[in-house]
Amino acid sequence: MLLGIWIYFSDRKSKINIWFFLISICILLWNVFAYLGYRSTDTIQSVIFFKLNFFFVSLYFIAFYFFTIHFPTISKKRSTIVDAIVTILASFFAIITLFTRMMINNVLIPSEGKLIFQMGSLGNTYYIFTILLTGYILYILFQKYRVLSSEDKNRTKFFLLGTILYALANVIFSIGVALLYPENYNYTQLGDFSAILFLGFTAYAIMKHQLFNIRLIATESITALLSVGLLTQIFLSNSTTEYVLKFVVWALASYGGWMLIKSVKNEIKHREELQGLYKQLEEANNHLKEVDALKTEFISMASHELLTPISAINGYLSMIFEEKIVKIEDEKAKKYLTQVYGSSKRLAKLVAELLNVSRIEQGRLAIEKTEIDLKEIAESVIAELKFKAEERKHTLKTNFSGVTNAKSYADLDKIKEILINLCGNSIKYSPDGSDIEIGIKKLSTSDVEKEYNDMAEMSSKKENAPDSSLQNAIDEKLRQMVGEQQLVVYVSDNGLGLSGDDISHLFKKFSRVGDFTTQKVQGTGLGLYLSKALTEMQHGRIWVTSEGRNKGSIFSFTLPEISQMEEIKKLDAKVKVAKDAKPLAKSG
Amino acid sequence: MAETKKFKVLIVDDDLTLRDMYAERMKIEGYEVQIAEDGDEGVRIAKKEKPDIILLDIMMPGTNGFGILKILKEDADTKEIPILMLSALMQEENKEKSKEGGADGYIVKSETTPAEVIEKVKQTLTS
Repeated sequence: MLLGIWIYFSDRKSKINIWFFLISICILLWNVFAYLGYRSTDTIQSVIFFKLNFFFVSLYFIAFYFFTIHFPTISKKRSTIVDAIVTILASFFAIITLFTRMMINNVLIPSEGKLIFQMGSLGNTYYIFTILLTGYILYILFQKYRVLSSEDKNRTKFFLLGTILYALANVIFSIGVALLYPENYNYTQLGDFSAILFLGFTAYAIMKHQLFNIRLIATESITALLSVGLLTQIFLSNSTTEYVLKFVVWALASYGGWMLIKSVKNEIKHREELQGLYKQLEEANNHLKEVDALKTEFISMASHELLTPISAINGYLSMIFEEKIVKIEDEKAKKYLTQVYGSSKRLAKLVAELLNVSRIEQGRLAIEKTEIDLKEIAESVIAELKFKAEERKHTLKTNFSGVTNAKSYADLDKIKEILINLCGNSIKYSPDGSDIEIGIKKLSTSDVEKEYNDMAEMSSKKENAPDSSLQNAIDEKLRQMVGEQQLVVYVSDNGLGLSGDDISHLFKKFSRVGDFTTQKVQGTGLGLYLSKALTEMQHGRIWVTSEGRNKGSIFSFTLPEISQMEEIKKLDAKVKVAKDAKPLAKSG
Repeated sequence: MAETKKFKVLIVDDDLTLRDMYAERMKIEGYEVQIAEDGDEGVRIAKKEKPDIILLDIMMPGTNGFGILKILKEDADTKEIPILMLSALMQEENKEKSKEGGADGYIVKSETTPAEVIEKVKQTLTS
């Protein structure tokens, strides 16, 4: 009853609440009269009580029916005919109950035990009616349940649960037991009390708009039960002391329960907040990954588009300058066009490098490994760069004394590219007339790791973090060094050298050393980044050592020995290769 | 130096920039050059003029290079003519596809100077 009042006052306007209020009134009255009926000693009086009992039960059914229609939201398919039928029938039963003997015929007083009442001629019809109505109500509920949104689903679930339990309990106790055990009317009373269960669930369903957490419900229910239990205890006390004591106990318990409920609510709220944050983080992360992928895709596409006009420029200029198909008489024109040619070659190289960078980052660079001889590669690179070296009066030397067998299992094209990059840098960054040495030696894998880590430490101390796009693109299995010893190819020069600060910036995209305004050197800043990527894709490491500025530097990179070929093949086989993997782009 | 025979070359490419550049270079080399702007026109000219070699671009509107390659190789009039695929794309699979389609070679436009194209053409014509 209290529940009913509470809910009613919480929102007088809501139809749901009105009907609930009526339901609770009916249940209360019906229970009251049932109780009175059983307790009464006067036959006629108890008959009246029982009639009133059933009267209110009928009314209750009306209220129940309409409540179901309104909860949680109004049914879409309401048939007023059904409404009318239900109302009329129930009212009919109600009136008959009260004013005739057709429902309740008489009251019998057995020799011992409680009173029993005899059902009149319409008794069975009435029972059938109630069962049918309950079934229909359940049916409506199920329909609603299927259609509703999840939040409403929860509330409906509760109501449904309560209704089912109540209906079952009632059927079992009121009718089943009555039929099977005609003497045990205590149980039928239980059926009435099951209505309390029903009320409880329904009230809960109405009031709760969120927080359908089991723990919270349990906590609240237990607290409520405890509170009510203790409260009733108070009224059963026999002395003032007991009364006060029990009152204090009740107050404390209620307060404690209240605090507990609050803390459980808080915890749940925090948990949900955390969930929300976690989801947000995940989304942000995914977004970032998307953006990163888009960026790389964009570079790839842009580079492709750039290639055509650049090819045209280079093509025509090569026809002029390489093939000398056209003679340029005007000296100035020749000079300017030479500049144009130089720039366009550099542009072509940059685009090719960008394309390669984007391919590596997308995991779309094709690697074809064969048995290669590093000595041969070194010689061929020297031959290719001879012209450039002579321009600057450099001397390119080789030093293969460290090894007899310099064979490895790797991609020839890529290794050449790395070496060309390193030598090219030395040629560019050394003062005219320098010596540049390309050497091959062996180092134990642990020594290589040490050298590499020494340099890596310097890089990580600075604010700019290592390129994560590279880390993501190259599988750890490809990076892994293979074997006890590594073949080391190094390029040593007496050029500009590098300070610790410079070293920390190296191998990153677009990093260049020195004062660009005074340097005459031309470069893209991508060479070392590419070299690092290419080395690490083939089980190698690349690093640099330098005494300092103007003291030259030694760039070294490693490759596994040819004896490790099988091991390498096994590792590589485990790595997924992109379907549209492409070779290195060249600038032609 | 041996005199360059007056070879007939057909270039099929919708992108005029590089197409005209190759045409220019070949004219200088002494070849007779014809141009088609799309695949269908290319097939028409090939059947009529019977060039000594065809340079066929892959990316074209309408039927793309591979489609035209198939048509040319299936047509009795043109199936003996050597074909070099021209492409801006440097994909291994395109090279494979070209070989399977019966092409005699593959040139990546952005990596090849006009001089190198001439080399390739000469190689193909004399083999």
